[in-house]
Amino acid sequence: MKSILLAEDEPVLRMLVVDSLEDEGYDIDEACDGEEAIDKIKTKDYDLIILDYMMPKMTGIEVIEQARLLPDKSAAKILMLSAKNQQAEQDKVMAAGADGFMSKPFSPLDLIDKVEEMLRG
Amino acid sequence: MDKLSSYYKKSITRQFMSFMLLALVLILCGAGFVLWSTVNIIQDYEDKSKINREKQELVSDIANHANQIILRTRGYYVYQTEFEYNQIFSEKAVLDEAMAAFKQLSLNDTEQELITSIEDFFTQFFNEVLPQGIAFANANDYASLRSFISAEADNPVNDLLDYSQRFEKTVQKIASDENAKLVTGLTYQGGIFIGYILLVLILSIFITRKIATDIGHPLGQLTKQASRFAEGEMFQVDYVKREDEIGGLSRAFNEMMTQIQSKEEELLSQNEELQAQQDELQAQQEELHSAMEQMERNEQYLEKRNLLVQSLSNTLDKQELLGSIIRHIVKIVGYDKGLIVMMNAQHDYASVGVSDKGAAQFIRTIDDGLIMRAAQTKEPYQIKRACVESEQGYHEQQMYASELVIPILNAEDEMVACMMLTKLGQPIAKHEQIEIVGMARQVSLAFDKLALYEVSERQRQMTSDMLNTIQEGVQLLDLEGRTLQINKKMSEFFGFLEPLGETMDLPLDEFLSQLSSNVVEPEMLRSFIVEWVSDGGLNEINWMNYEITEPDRRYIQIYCEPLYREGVKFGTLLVHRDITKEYEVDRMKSEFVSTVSHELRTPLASVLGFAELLLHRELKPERQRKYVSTIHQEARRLTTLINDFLDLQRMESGKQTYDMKPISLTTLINEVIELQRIGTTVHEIVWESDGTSMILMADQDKMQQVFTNLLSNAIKYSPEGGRITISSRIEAGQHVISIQDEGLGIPDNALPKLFNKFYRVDNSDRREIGGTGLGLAIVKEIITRHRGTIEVDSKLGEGSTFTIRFPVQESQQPRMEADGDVQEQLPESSIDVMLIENDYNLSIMLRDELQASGFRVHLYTQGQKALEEIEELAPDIVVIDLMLEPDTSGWQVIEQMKKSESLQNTPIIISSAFDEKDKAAQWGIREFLVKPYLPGRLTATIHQILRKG
Repeated sequence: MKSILLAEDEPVLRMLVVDSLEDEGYDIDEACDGEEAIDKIKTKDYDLIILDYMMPKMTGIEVIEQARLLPDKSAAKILMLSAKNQQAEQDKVMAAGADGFMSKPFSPLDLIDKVEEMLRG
Repeated sequence: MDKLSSYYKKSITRQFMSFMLLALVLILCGAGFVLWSTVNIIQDYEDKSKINREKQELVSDIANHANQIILRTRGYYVYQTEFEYNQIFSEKAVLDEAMAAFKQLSLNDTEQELITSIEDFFTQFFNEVLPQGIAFANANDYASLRSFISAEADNPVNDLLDYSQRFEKTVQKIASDENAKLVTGLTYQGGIFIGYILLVLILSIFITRKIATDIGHPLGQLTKQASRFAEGEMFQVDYVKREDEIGGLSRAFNEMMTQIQSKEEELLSQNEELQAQQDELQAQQEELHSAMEQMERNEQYLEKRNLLVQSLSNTLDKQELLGSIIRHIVKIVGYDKGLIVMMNAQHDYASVGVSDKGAAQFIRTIDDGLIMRAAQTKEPYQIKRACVESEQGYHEQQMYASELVIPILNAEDEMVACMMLTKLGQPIAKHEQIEIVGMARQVSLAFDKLALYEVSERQRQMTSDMLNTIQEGVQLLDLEGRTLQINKKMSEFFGFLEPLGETMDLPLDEFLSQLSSNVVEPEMLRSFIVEWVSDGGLNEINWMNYEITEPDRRYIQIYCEPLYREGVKFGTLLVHRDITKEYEVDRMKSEFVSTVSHELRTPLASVLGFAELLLHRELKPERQRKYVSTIHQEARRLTTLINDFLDLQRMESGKQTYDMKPISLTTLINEVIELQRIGTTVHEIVWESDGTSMILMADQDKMQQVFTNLLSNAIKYSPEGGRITISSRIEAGQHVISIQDEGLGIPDNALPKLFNKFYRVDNSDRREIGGTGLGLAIVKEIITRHRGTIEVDSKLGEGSTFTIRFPVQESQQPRMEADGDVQEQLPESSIDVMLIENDYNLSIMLRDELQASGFRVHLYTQGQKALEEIEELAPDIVVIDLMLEPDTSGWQVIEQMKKSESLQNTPIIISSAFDEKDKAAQWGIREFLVKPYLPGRLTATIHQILRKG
């Protein structure tokens, strides 16, 4: 079973993502902010990390940067969720090391497809 | 022959030359002849004496040698030696020679005979005698010899000797004869020479006489005639008919005389003419002389004027100018004292030789006496007075002083200044007065100039002040890009310009090179300016933005405008506008938009996401309910967000209308508490009031929003529950309301940003709580609009206290506070309120109330006086009591006002103990305050009127 870490500060959105992906049979851990996400990444090897761009304490990009510094944690794919949907934002995120990008609001079905695709590749 | 004669007649020179030549030839011939005859005589004499001498010598030789032969013969006879023998023959050879020479000469008969006898003798001697004698001698027969010799006694030798002697005498006789002949010849010759000299003399006399007659005399005559002519005599000149030079000279002289005569006549007439001219010139010269004197006087005057003008043009400082004027005028005219005073408000003055006290006295009486007269007549006038003690010096005899008062008139013929000059001991001459009046005109021009300068200086100062007040950097460039002028703001932006002052001449290159000191990326700015200066006006884009780092980081927009004067470009104006604020606003706006979009997307994502799950998934009923309720909750959040956002927008843009009414905060807070209580079970909400009623002008709904937000925040951010205390009290003239919770508290770093839009304390546990981040911003906005303040005090983990303060109104009566906008539009201090009230105590109370509210109050306790003065006072608002003096009522005042054109629209508030609202309505008056009323109502009513405009 593929394990996924979700870092999102909005509880409602967390619920939406978790509910959508759990039904598809993924094992999902939750983090409320960037710091918690880093802590979780250190303790467990995830197949996919879904990050909200705007989070308290640390932004999604800062999480990527820190995660990439951790030893043996380079395997995890990273999917960034952001309320900012401009192309420039997307480029910035991808340049920072994310593997995928989805803008808010997003369709849960599209999210499932995207996650499947990323884990397959 | 006639030809030759006329040839000579025509020239004395020729005549004279010919005469002289002839005389010279004659003299030379005579001299040659004399010389020739003399030489002849002498030559002849010399020839004859020579022949005689030679003959004599030869005779003597012959005699001698003959004798020798005889002697040698006899010597041989005696000695019989060879030598003697030879000697005989050698003597014979010489004798032969001499005789041969003698025979060559011309010989007379005697001589011929003699020589022949001698030749004969010697021939015989050698042929016969000698051999005989030798034979005897050889035979020593001396006796025969002796007889032989004696037989020879009459031989020719003795004759010869005799002859020789005689010949010698003859020769000598001949010589003396010749000498005598020579002397005779020479004497004759001398006579010829004398005759010759006499001839020469006669010739000379003749020539001289000829010259004298032909030349000397006529010349003498002519000379005489010339002197006679010189003496003025007129006559016919002699010799004119002669053809020679004298004739020529005479004719020339004659002609000259004629010409001179005619010339003289001409000259005489000319002379007369000249005489006339000279007379005329004389007259003109006299005229000139007098003109020159006049000119000299003028020149002196001009020099003085010049001095004055120079002194006037040296300064533009008023006091300095006055001092210079009076000093120079006194000096120029050589007077003793002087004073000049300007007719302006300060009576600026300057003086020479006058004490401050004297000057003050003069100025004190400026509207009287001396200056008064000058101002009225506009003419200078003189005064003569006795000298005072200080002017007397050491003179005991009474002296007099002359004074001249001169008004200085401007172009409008008004007296702008007055000058008084004093001359001690002497009267002031008329021309001096004229001079001084002339100077006064000059002075008046200087005043005009000064006034003009002051005006232009004020103008310049004003322009400079204006430029410096402009909050944009202004920079004036000429066509070459040289900076000519800048304003204060400009030197604030570019510190390196500050030491150069406002006007300068800074080359473009220098300015551009200095830019790098505080401009970020100066290249862009440089090329922009250079482009504008080089082809300014053609550029379509006339602005750009740049950033400076000194004195602090600012964003500047520069824009250029070409400057034209009469259609010709003469420079470029660069304006540097500080757009830091706009830039920040812009930045904040885009940040705001980004934030809003983020804030909206989050609930939208939930609504869309759950709706999609509901649509596409088979879900258990509990999950369906959960999702639907989440959608509902998020949709509500979205709605609140949008409402809050729109509210705030409205408030900030000033479009929010506030329905200001007197409300009771106590009631309002109670209602809010009751409502909030419903939503929580874990919080204890306590209301602590000190009992004072809190009534103020406020918008009921907005106030409710304030307390709802604050109380719901207190509840939300103390999720563990706890006590929430709301208290109200009065502190330092303010209503203080505080809301205290025991919740999460706020970190210190968040406190300053707490009331910012969309600010939410960055903390994950707060995310659970949700919210728009707009609540506190709205609260602050509303409170500010109600002239209140809000502040927060918090300790993380222990809870927060929000404290609100509203100003307490002076009376407890709800005060009709106008909202801030109206207050700002109509400052009370500019409102004149006329208060007509004859109850003294009430009038004081009302006056104090109105003054405390900031109005300008004009209190009238008597209606009559009010009636008289209302027109002139022209108040903005009239508050009037109906019951005034026994014979005057407020209605009279109202009636008068309604009749007056300027006052008929002035608002009137009636303040009366009797309710006569109907009658008031007839006059169109709605504001009717029935006594007794609290003074605050009056203020409120006035505000109401003002608000209605």
